[in-house]
Amino acid sequence: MKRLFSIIAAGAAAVGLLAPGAQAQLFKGKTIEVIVPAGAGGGLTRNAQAYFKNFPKYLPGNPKVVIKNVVGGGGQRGINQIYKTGKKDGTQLLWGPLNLTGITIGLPGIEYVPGNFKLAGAAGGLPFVTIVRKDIKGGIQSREDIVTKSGFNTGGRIPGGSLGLFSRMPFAMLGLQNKFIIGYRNQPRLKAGLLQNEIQAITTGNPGYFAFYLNDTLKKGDGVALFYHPSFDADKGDFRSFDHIKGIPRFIDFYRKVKGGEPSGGAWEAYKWQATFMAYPFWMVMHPDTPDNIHQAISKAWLDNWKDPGSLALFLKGNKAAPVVLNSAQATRIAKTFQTTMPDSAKQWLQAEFGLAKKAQRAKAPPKKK
Amino acid sequence: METWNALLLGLTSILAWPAIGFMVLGVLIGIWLGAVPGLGGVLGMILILPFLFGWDPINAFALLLGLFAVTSTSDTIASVMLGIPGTAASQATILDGYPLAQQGQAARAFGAAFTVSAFGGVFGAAMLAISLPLITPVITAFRSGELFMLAVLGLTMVGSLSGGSIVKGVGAALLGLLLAMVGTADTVAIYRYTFDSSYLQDQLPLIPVVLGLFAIPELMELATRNVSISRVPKDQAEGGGMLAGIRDAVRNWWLATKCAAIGTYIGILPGLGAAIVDWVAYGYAVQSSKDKSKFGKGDIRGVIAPESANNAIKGGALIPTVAFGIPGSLGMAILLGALLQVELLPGPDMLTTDLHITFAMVWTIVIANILAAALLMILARQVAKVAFVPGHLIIPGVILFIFMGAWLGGQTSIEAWIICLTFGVVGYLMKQTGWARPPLVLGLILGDIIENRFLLATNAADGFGWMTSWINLIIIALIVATVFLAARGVVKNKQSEDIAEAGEGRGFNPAMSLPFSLVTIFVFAAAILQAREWENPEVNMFPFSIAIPGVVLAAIAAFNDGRAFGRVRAQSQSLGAMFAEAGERALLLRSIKFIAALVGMALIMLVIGQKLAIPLFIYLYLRLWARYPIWIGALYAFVGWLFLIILYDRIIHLNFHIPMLNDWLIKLTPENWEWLIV
Repeated sequence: MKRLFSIIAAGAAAVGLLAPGAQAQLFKGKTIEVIVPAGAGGGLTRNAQAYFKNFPKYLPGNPKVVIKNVVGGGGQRGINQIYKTGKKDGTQLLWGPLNLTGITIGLPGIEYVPGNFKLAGAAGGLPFVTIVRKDIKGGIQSREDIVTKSGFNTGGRIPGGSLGLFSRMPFAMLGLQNKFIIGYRNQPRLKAGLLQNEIQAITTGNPGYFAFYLNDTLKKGDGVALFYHPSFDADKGDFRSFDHIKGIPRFIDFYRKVKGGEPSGGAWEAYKWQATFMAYPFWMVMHPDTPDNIHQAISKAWLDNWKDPGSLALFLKGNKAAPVVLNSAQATRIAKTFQTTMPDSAKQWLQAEFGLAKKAQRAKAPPKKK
Repeated sequence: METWNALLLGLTSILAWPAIGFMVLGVLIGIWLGAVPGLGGVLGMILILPFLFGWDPINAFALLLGLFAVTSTSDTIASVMLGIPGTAASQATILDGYPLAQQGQAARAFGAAFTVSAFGGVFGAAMLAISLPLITPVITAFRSGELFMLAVLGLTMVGSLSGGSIVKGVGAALLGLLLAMVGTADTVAIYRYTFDSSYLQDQLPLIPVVLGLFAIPELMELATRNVSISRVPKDQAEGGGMLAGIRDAVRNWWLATKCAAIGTYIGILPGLGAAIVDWVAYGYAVQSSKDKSKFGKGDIRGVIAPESANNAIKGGALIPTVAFGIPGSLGMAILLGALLQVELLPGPDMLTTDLHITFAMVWTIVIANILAAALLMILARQVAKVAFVPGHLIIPGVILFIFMGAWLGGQTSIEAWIICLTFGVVGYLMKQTGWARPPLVLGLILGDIIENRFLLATNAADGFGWMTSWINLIIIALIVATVFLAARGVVKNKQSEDIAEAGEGRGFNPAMSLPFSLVTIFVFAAAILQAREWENPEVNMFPFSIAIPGVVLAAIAAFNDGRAFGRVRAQSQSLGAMFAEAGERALLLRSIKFIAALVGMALIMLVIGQKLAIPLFIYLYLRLWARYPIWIGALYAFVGWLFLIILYDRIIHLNFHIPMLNDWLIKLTPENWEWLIV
C-alpha cells in the first residue's frame, strides 16, 4: 500500500511539473545568473551579452538574466564553481569553454567531469586565423613565402591556450623553426607585441580577427593573414569551410598547396582533435543534479534562442558568421567521449607543449632500483 | 581643418540632448561608485554594458565615460576620511589625506584634491587630443623590456614611501613582490605558493589585501581609542577650509601639471595601468621636494600629486584603446568591449572617419571632470563634517563596505574575507612595528608586471640585449638617480626626526617589532625552500631573486630591532613589564577583541549569510562595544540591511555567499522573497 501511494505521489508530482501551468511558472520571478569564466571586457562576455539579451523570453516564466564574470585558475574557477557548488534549480548557468584538452592530458586545477554536467548545448565552430607581420624575417610578398622563413617569434597568451596552440601546431607541421613566447595573457597584448615587432606571428579567434586586425593591421598592410583553422566536422570527416573570412585559405588547403601532400604526426593528430573538440567556446551547462524538467526547459530555450533572428543578428555583429550549434544530446555525446578519442601521438605532443611531458614521463617511469 | 571640424562636431554632439543627459547621469553614478570603497568605475561599466546594444555611440560613451572619468575624483572621499582607498587609483592619497582629516583639515584636502582632479582630467584629455599623431612611435618604442624597466623605476619610489627605515621599507616591498608570485607561473602551468587552494591559482586579489592592510587598522584605532577621525575638536581645527585647499592647488600648479603629465603618459603605455600612477606621482612629489619632512604627516602636496595624476590617466589610456584596440587597464578593456558592442572598430577609422566620435569622448572626459569637481565641492563641506562624528558611528557602516568590497573584489569567495582579515592583522602589526605598508602594496602590484615583462623581453630577444636600448639606458639612469636621492632623503629625514610616531613606517615598539621581523625572516626562508622544488628557472628565478635579499634585509631589521629591544629592556623593570607596556601602547588587548569580533562576524556570515550577519554585527557593535541605545543600533542595522538589499542585491546583482542554513532560511520566507535574507 505504501509503495502504491509512493507511485501515485510520484506520478502526481510528475504530472504537476509537466503540466503547462506548472511549466509556465518554472522561472517566474526568478533571476538566472550566467557565469562567464573570463574577464568582463573580452569576447566571451560580449558574446554572452548578445546571446542572453533575448534568452529569457524562451524560458517559462520569463526570468531575469544577469551575467557574472568569474575569473581565475586559467578560466577553470568559474566552471569548478558551477560543478561543485552551483545552484541546482537552473538559476545558475555556465557560458564558456570546457577545457577538454586540459582534462585529457592531465592539466592541474580542473575539478569537473564534463560528462556529469547537465548540458543545454554547445556552440561555436568558428575559425581561428593566423597572422604574421609582413616584414617578418626579410618580408613576405605572398603568404606562401612563409615556408621559407625561420627564427621568428610566435606569441601566446597562457600555457596551453588554444590561440597559442593554433599557431604552434601548423608551424610544427610546416617545419618552421620559431620560438614560442608565452605570457601575453590576452589578445590586445598580443596585438601590442605584434605591433612592436617583439613577436612576428599570432593566432586570433574569429571575433578578434574582425575586432582587432581586419580594420587595422591588415588594412594598413602591416600584416598578412596566412590561413584560418576551421572546426572539424566529425560526421563528414572533413574540416568546415567559411566564406565570411574572405581571401584566406584553410590551413589544410594551404598545407596541401605548399607541401603537396597530407600532414601527419603528433602535431597533425593534435590539430584534428583540437579542431573537433575544442572548437566550441560557448557551452551552456548547469549543475549535475539539476532536475530533468528544468534541464529540458533550458535546453529547449537554448535552441529556440539561437533560432531567434534578433539573437542571431546580435551574434553576427561581432562574428560575421552564424555558429555551429549543438543540441543537448550532441553536446553530451562530446562531453562523454572526448577523452577516449585522442590518439597517443597527439597526447604526447600536447603534453610537451603544456610543459607536462616530463611530469608524465616521471609518472610512467618505473621506480629506480636501489 | 578636418581635425578642427571633428573637434567641434564632437563638442556639439556631446552637448546635444540626450547625450548631455546621459553624461550627467554617468557622472552622478560615477561619483557614487568612486565614493564607496570596493566598488569603482569598472563595476559600473560592467553593469551598464549589457544595456548598450543598439545605442548610438555618442550616447553610449557619454554614459560610460561620464561614469568612468569621475570615479577617481570621488574616490578621494574614502581615502581622506577613512584612510581607505576608494579605488585602486587613490591608494597614495591616503598617506597625507588621512592625516589631514585627523588634523581636522578634511575640507582643505577635498578642496585641493577636487581642484587638481578636474585639472588633471582636463589636462589628460587635452594631451590626448594633441598627442594623437604621436602615439604610434610612443607605443611601438615601449616594448616589454621598457615596460619592465618602467615598473622597476616605479618600485624605486619605495625609498620615498619607506618612512623611518629604508631596510624595512625595501623589505616590505620584497614581501609585496613575493606575494605577487602567488598563483600560476607565467610560462608553465605550475602553481606557486597556492597551498593547494584553487582560489590562489590566479593571484592574490588586490582589493581584499588593500582593504585589510589599510582599513582594518584604522578602524581598529578608532574603535579602541574611542575617538573621531579628527583628533582635533571642530572648534580648534585651523586652516582646514575648502578655499584653503583650492589655494593650495593653485599655489602648487606646477607640481599638479607635472603629475598630470606623468598620469597621461603612464596611461598611454599599455600594461602599466592605473594602479601605480598615484604611487609614481606621489614618489615624484616627495623626491622633487626640498622639504620632505611633512610627507606622510599631512602634507597637502601628498594629496595634490596623486589626485592630478589619477584623473589624467583616463585621457592617456583612451588613446591606445581607440587607436589600436590595446587597452592600458581593465577599465579601458571594458570600454573597448563597449566600442565593439556599438559597432565601432578600434584602428585608423577612429582617427579619420570616426574622429568626431573620438573627440566626443575627449570632450566627455573634460566636461565630466569639471562637473564632478563642482558637484563634489558643493557636497564636500558636509562630508568633511563626518570627521568630527564619533568614530563608533562610522565603524559599522565602513565595516559593511569593507567586507562587501572585499567579497566583490575578491571573486565573491570566502577566501576574500580570510585574506582581508589576515592582512588586517598584518597591517596592524606593520603599523606598530615601523614596517611601511605602501611599499608592500606597490610590490604586490608591480611584481606581476615585472616578472611578466622581464620574461617576455628576455625570451623574445633571446638574452639581455633589450637592456641596451636608448630608452632603457635613460630609465636605468633615472633609477640610479632615484635610488640615490631616496636613500639620501631617508637618511636626512632620519637625522632631522622630530615626531617619532607620526607617518607611515614610523611606529616604534621593539617588543612587537622583534617578533614581527623574526616572522618575516621565516616567511622569506620558507619561500626559498619552496622555490627549490621548482626545477624550471622561469618558475623559480623571481621567487629566489626576491626571497634571498628578503631574508638578508629581514635579518638586518631583526638585528636592529634586537638592539632596540635591548635598550628598552634595560629601561624596564622586567621583561613582563616591558611586554605589558608594549601591549598597552599598541592597545593590544582591545585590538585583539576587535579582530575577534570581525572574525566572529565572518564566521556568522558563513552560517546565515551577509544579509543577516552584517546588520547583526552593526547592532551588536553599537550596543555592546559603543553602548548606544537600542533604537540607534536597530535603526543603523536596518539601514545597513537596506544597503545590502538595494545596492548589492537589486542593483549590482552580487553573488552572495550561500550560507550553511540556506535551505532553512528560505523556508522562513514567502516564495520568491528569499532574496531579502539570503
